[in-house]
Amino acid sequence: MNKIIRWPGLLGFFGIVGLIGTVFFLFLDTWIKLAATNGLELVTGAEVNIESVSHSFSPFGVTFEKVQLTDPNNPSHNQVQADKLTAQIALAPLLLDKIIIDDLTMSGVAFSQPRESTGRVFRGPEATEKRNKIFDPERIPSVDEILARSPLKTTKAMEEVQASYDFHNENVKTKYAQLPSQEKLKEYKAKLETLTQTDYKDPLKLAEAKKQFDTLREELKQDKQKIEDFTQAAKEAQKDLGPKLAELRLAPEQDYAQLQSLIAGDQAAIQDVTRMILGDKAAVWSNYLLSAYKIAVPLMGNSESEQEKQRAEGKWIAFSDDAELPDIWIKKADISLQWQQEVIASKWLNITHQHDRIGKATTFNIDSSASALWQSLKVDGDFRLSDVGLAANQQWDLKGIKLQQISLMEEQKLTTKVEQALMGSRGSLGVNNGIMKGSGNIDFKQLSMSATGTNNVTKVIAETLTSLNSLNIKTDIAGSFDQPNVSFSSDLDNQLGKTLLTNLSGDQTSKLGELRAKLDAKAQNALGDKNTQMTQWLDWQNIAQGDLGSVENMLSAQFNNALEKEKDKLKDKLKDKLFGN
Amino acid sequence: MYVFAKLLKALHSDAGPWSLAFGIMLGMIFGLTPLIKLHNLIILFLVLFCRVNLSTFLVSWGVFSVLAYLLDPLMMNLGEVILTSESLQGIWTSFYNTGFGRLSQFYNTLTMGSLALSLALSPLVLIASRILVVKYRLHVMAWMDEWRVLQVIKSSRVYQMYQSFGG
Repeated sequence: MNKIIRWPGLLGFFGIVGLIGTVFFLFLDTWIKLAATNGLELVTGAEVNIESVSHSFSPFGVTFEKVQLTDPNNPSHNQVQADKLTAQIALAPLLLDKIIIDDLTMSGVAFSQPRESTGRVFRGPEATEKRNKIFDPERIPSVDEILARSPLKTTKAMEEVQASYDFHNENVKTKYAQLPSQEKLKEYKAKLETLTQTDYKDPLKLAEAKKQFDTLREELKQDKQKIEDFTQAAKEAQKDLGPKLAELRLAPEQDYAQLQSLIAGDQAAIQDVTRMILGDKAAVWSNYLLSAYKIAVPLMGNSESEQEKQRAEGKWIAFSDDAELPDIWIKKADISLQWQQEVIASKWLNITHQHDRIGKATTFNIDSSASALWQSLKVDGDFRLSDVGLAANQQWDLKGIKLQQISLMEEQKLTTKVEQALMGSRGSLGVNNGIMKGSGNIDFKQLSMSATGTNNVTKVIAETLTSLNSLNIKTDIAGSFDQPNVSFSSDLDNQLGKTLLTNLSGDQTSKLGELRAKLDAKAQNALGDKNTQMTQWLDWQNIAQGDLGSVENMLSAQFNNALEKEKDKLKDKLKDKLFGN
Repeated sequence: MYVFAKLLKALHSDAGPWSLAFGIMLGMIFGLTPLIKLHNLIILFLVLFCRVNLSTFLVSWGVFSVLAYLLDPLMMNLGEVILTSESLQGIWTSFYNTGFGRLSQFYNTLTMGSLALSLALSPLVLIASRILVVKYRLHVMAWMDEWRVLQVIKSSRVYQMYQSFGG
């Protein structure tokens, strides 16, 4: 036995394994920190900071302190951050690469908070939104530029008129060219008179005349058809072109109404002033709205990118997983959102990305009673991820949220601030196959705003805003979950547009005049030309109508009368001979 | 030089030819497969617990680790063929759903390919190694002892140091 076995070697083996184990456990917190940091950076594509990690063995759990996930779209801010995250993890499923967390507690969760230093971004943002150059009346486009870049109704109406004219003109012209000439009509008339008024003594000549009459009648019928075809074509052309010409007459007025805002100020600024005024705060609020998904989805990991990373060391082949457990399952979570000095507690159940495996949706609930900052906050929702995408529902009812000294916008040309207000919001949001659809209201009461502008446009905006004491904003949520499109609208847009138009500078007024003149000239050129064409068609139609009348008269001429007369004469002669009168 | 000296020391020692051959064979598995894997813990246990010659194991590990860089693409392809083989899907799926299976990371193409290749070569390497050791000792060892190059190696500082550490 001793020939084969080396007993000191056993000690050596356990010594080596023990040493590896000791090193592993001594640096376990560091390994966990590195793994969590790298894993989260892989998922978010931006720098992740974890201040410290600690673990416990019974029950097995990990605690992360001061976790910060950089926002890849805005690296000076954190996408989400948490003061403390504690997770109790089931050990046995870990052997099967299943992270089953029985209890998760996150406290001090906050979104869009500024970072101490700008975070590194490893994957660029999918779409860099360029901030509009807003509220700049000095950069007023020239009238020609406006006309060139704007989708004008006048241009469209002109094109439609031209298309209609081109379509009908050839047809009407061709059919008009086929109409019988006046000479031909006179010829018909002469022939007809000769045939109907001649006294035919010879029956053979009479029969020949009858034949000629029938031929003439046939020709007349054909010409009548041509006249009718032309009349029909001309009527259709008028019916089609008439309304289009009427639209063209109205189009310059409509274009003027639309384009004058471009002269008065920036069109985007006026049409979307609610969003501009709300500025970055809108993004923050929409982040809160989508916070449920923003918390949950990053936690779910990204197996695809993990596989990509490991490929250089061989490929990982996945086999069907018989275990009923999902890869990640947080059975229960208590997450506390930090908002100003208040804490909003939320309760979550069954957070996972494989809901089919557990047969339940993830549910979350916030029900916060009155505090120093609000009267009540209620948010309920659920979501379920499947092969077809994300399906989710969410309702919220927020009452009496106290806003004080909230800076909305700090641009060089305009600064706006809510001095104080009571904000309420109610709405619902649904997600189907990853596409969001929802709406809600944001209601500001007891509103007091301060605003300062530095030019004509922004001064008007500032005055309007400071005069507000309430504001109701309608929100619409659409787009994909990854890139939600939250739109805001209110009556403020129209109000500001009208106010701006009454405060135009001399240059702006002259440009408006030029715009009006150019639009009118553009339409008049087309109108004059096409009106002439229409008049010609009408003239042709009148001529054709007269021709049709004379052809119809000719057709009504009865050659049979002459024939009957001859028949009667023959009958009389026969009677004389028979009865000797 | 150090590796060569180590090998010579082993060949010229009293260790049995099987012990030397097993060292070479297990060193090959250790060297060809990725290091931090569960099966290498078993190899380490066998090397230390059984009377496997440590010198030949270490030399073989070093040599086959270098060779592994060249063989990696081949071994990855082999692993993929084995893991995606239709007839073996049942076995792999069952193994995949065990804790031991997951810890072994057998479902990595390089792990599977290198382990399969080294296991397939093991009997051949074992027997060939033993034969070569026996042949060496029978025909070359006496001649080598007289060989001037060996004398130079034996007198070198590395060899002296190696001797002093009892390698």
